[in-house]
Amino acid sequence: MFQSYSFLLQSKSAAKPIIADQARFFSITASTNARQYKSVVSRLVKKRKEYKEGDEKPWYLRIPEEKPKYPLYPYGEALFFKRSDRGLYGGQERGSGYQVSEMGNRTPRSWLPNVVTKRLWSEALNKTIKIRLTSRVLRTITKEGGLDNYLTKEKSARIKELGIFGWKLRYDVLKAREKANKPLNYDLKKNPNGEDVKVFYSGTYKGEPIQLTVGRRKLASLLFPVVRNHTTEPLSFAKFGVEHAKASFGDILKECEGYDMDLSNVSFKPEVSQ
Amino acid sequence: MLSSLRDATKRYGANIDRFPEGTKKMLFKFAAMTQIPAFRSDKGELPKERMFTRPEQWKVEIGDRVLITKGRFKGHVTKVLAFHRSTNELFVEQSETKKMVIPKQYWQAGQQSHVINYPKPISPRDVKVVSTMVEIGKDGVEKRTEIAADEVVFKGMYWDADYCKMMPYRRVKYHENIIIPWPRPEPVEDDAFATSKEESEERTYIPNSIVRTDSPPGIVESMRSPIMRRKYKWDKQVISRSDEKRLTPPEMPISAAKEGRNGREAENQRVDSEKADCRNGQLGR
Repeated sequence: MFQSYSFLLQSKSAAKPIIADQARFFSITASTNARQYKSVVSRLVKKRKEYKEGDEKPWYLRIPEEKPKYPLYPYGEALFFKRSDRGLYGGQERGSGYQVSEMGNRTPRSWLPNVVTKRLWSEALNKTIKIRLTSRVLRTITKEGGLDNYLTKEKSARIKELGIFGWKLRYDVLKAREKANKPLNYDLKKNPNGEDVKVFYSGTYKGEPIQLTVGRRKLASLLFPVVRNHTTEPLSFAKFGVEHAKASFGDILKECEGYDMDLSNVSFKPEVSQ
Repeated sequence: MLSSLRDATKRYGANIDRFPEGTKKMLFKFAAMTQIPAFRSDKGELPKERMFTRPEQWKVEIGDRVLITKGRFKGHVTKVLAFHRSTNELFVEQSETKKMVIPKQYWQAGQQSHVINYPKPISPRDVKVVSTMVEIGKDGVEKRTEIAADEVVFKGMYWDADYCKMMPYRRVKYHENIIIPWPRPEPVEDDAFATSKEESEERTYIPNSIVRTDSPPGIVESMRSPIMRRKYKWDKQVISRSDEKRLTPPEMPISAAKEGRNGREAENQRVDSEKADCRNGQLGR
């Protein structure tokens, strides 16, 4: 059916394809060539309970020391052929079958995917990455036009074949792209010496205009020792940080003004004072 | 002893019972060799499960009069002095002795020589318990007869206040109406520091209810160490902000392709809604 359709499209006799674009073909039988990713799909991934702040903490719950670096791979880790989680194996596993002799004797045998080690360039990460990958995946990467395109494709089959290693790389690539696409939070200005200076904030301080060369968090860290000196109880930086986590640039600057801080070290002066 | 310590001793200690019979014999032999001859026992110690614990097993008690049926003193009636519990044997007043050389540091008061006669224990199988049967004749005269029971049987139990436990009735076999009473044990005198029986049985606290406790509120909490680092298991705790952070993995960022598709869909929707608005407007006009 599919062949006849392509034939019609290519036929010179028909200037216009007979079948209009509204007509659609459906294949009732499943394609045997399509990859099933059986070993990936059949994994039973334990459902994670989501905990929110203020929820009751069960006594058996272990809190990890550090927060997780990567999102969870929806298909979990490999049950067999664990090495496929340490490279791009495209969902391939150890194959098995028979070695059949001339007499028809069947001897069980197995074969491994054709795995190669390559250094591939990642445009987003701006570095080469040493990867163990199957030649089949290498071919796909070439077709996709690069490692990043292979990793970031949205098709469900691609996510099935990525595995844990690919999933983590995908996260790195997408994060790097997100970071690259983020607009700058500073203006570049030139000081009298001709050097570039980053100006993060322009406003008024003590009734005079000020251009700050430090970010919001850095300004808060400058404010911290002053606040601590004016606090009777011991104040930890962690507590201070939590209190000022959502404070705006203007609020922190106003607080600095309250303590009469000297911000000349972190302010941009377009003219050299004589 | 703490149960954990007891287990530890079982695990690491030299537990003789673990070894096979031959090895056990050898170990006992070595142990005997380290003793001076006076303290070597002729028979080895019995295993714990074979040692007698009940009066039915001993058949006699300390203070019983017995008839010896074997050995040099066969036919003599003597008194049971003590039990040799590790070999299930008896020490009696009149028995065979063996000569023993005793080092001076173990001499008893009044001992004159290194060599003493030490009594040999005898088996309870080689004695018959002796008792006096009192019969009152027709003429009202008491007739006392000494009897030695070939065998005894035990039927029925009674509370013996002197022994402070339930004791079986000791009867002569085939003449079970004849009960041979147990000898009276020597009274034990309480130490000056001992708690008297009446005092120990005095009841000082009677709970009013099994539902409500009379104990003051917060007594359980006060028993816990206030500087205990681990939080109490049953205290309710809540997820803190930092806990939530450490339990929640980051989200996968949306890729450009997906964003584009979503954008296109949104654009299409916007166009559709505009078209619909136009149509509605036309209809209205």
